[in-house]
Amino acid sequence: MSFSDSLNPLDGFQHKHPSDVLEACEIIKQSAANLDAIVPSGSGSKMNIGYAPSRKGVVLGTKNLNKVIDYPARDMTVTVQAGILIKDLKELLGKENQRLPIDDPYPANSSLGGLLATNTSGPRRFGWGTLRDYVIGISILNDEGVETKAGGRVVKNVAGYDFCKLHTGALGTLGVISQVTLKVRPNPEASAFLLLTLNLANVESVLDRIHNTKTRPVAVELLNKTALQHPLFKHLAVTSDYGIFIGFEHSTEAVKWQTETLANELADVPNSKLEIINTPSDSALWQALGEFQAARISGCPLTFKANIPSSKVATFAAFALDTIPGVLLQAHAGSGIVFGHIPEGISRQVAFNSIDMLLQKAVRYQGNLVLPYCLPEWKADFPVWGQTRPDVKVMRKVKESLDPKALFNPGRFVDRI
Amino acid sequence: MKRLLDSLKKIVGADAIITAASELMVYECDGFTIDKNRPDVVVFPTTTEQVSKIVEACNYFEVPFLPRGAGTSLAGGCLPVGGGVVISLARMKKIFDVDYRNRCALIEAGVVNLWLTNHLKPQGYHFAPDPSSQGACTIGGNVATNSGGPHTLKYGVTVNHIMGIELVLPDGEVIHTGGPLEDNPGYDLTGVIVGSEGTFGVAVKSWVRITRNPDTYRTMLGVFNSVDDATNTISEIIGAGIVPAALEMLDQMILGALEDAFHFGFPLDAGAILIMEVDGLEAGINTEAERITEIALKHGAREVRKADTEAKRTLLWKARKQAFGAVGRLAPSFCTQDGVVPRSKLPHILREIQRIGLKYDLKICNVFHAGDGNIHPILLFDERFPDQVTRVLAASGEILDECIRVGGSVTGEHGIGVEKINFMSKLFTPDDLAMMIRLRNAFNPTNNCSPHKMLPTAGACIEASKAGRMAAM
Repeated sequence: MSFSDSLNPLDGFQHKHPSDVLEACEIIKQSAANLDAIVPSGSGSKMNIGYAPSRKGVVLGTKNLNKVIDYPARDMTVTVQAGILIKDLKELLGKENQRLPIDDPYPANSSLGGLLATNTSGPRRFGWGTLRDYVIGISILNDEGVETKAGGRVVKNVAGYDFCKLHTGALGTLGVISQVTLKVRPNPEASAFLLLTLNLANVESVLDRIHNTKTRPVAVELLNKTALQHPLFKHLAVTSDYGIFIGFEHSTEAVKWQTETLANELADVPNSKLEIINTPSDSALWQALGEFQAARISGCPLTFKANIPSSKVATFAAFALDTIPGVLLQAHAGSGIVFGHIPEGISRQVAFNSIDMLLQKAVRYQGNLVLPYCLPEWKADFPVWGQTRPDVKVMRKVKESLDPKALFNPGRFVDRI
Repeated sequence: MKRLLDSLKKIVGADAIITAASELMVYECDGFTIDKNRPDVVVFPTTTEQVSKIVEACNYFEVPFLPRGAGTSLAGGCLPVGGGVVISLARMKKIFDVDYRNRCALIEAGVVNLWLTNHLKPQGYHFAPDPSSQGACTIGGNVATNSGGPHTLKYGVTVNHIMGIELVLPDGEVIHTGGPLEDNPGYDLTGVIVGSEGTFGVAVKSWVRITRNPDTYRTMLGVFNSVDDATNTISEIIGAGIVPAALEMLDQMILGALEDAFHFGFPLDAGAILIMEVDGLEAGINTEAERITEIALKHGAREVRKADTEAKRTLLWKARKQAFGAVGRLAPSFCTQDGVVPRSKLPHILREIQRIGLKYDLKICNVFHAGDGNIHPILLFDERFPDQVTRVLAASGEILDECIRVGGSVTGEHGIGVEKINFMSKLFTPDDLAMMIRLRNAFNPTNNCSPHKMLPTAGACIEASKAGRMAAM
């Protein structure tokens, strides 16, 4: 049967939380025999991403698969089961003054498997990369209910195909991630932001200047005025059109030099205000900048995420504001990623037309635009996964080869794979 | 074959095809010279369209084909097992578009790694993966094997710098995966094509990430009386949470050969040296260099020298990257291995290598990417003596088995190719390998493209007949 997107997508599903991998494999075998859909779920924090599953079945929860398998801190790797919560992983690594430098909007409520399946990232991606740069080994429960692995536990390894990359961002459509080995990093000694508030007219030139700065920021976050009025940022009392948060993480000496140097480089921006915010890398401000892209704004019917050239961020942001007045914008500007929360009260038709205009703009820039959040009743018509790319043909072949019965998250991902 | 040749001539012209036996000899192997097999023909396309037509022609006449860059790979990835057509990408060497503002470039597969970095240099950028063969190896080859290099410790391997690929699929269709931008919706096909050793098709173009050059370097030479002290120091540096740009170890035997070749002034009485490099901003770099120096001195370095001029640094890296060239001074033949161990196991594996060398009465020297735990023991021998070949094969196998036993891998950057195909079943279960075959079938269902590579079931009859030889080298 086909599910309507207007229903709670998981109504009618059985929810199972196996206590170990063997039990999880048995659930998959049973589901495969019945041709039931299998919806992998960590903590459930990202279940609204994508379309509703195209048929009923089982939600396979991995919250009990949360053991630490091996943490040889001196090798700077960690092997854990995928159900571990990000906050628990952080705590574990923190004891050795290490971390996984990937931002998660809700670390207390999200699992590593979910982070991986959705390829979540945040402000730090500019300096520290994304999950594909950190996953060195992976175990997958496949369509036959067998745990299979790829990669390994060493930081450099080219034996066999790199399934770590394939499953990162695959939304659990190719199997259930059961175990992950990660490269980790030492915690930085110091961290700080330079906050520049400025008018629209100067955003593009300032982003160009930040691109050419002598310093090495790890985050370049652009937020518009409406976004800065959100409770996460309200205390900063920004009244200009935009705020740019330039983040640094390094040794104390290097952070101090960089904030001062960049402040000097940007001192002549007209009608702007500069502030150095010394704040640790686990501070509320870093967390707020990681969280805002996934924040649930009251009445917001959808959130878009565009990937465009970094050089076009200012133009795209201005276009988005013209197209959807009141939109709350956040860009990981150095990486060309723009998030927008559409304000309450917009009609379905206006939202549809506006999203189409933004999508076409992104596509003209060789990019795309997807909807990480969308009202379930709107999903049927809206381009949840953006414009389908020609290489989807190969993606389909990969899906058919690795999951021929379409057991895993059927219909949820790009082109309703 | 004649009809295929006629087709190929129509596609690329007669001057872009080699069929003479004397000329084909160059293409009978790559840097892995133990096994050789001459292709039937080598063809040199200059466009994606030509590659696509060549692939279609090969399929039509049911002749296997495989891509080749500069042939510097070390595991037989370019070995035309069973003959067929080698598609050389050496004439596809355009750098189309460098977008400094968005930090990416579109280039053809035949561009030599170092050409790209030299091209970017005036603007203060480089291509981060820097294999030791970077003066000759191509980006297409780097993509196929997911190459590393000394500076991957800080900057990552090839896959971390490839954003998109133009791929001629094994049926001749051209697809584009990824592109100049990050976060394209869908599966990360680019990520899984990199390192697939040519078994998913012919990667003809890549969008590569370009990296800003560091403002400054501090390059140091730690001099140790013993290999043990050097490897313990590596473990301590990483354990202290320092991520140097590079951390390379050279033992006494290789130092002698390098000194003869480059006259750097290496301390020839040292048991081992470590090249320790940090890079980045001027601010704070001295503190970082001092921390490393302190750790080295605390763990047995008898001195830490500084390569404090650009000329010295350049010469030092030239010596390191051309180390394999200097090995010819030590023995007529050599076999380089590419094992990986968890970094804390380096002292153990180096002791094991020494033990295995004594057991098989072989000289083994070491020059390797210590910071990554990626060892390159070089086994010296003379291939004219079959007994030596046998011992080298056995010793190599024992070293790699030990790497697996301590939780590592048999290849960090050279690839599986044909050389290590029989180790795959030691690293992976039949179920793991079955998934890899399923993935390959999604791209390459007939296995006519780069057959008999990477996966042990690819060409059972061929591998089985030479299993002993291919397994170890």
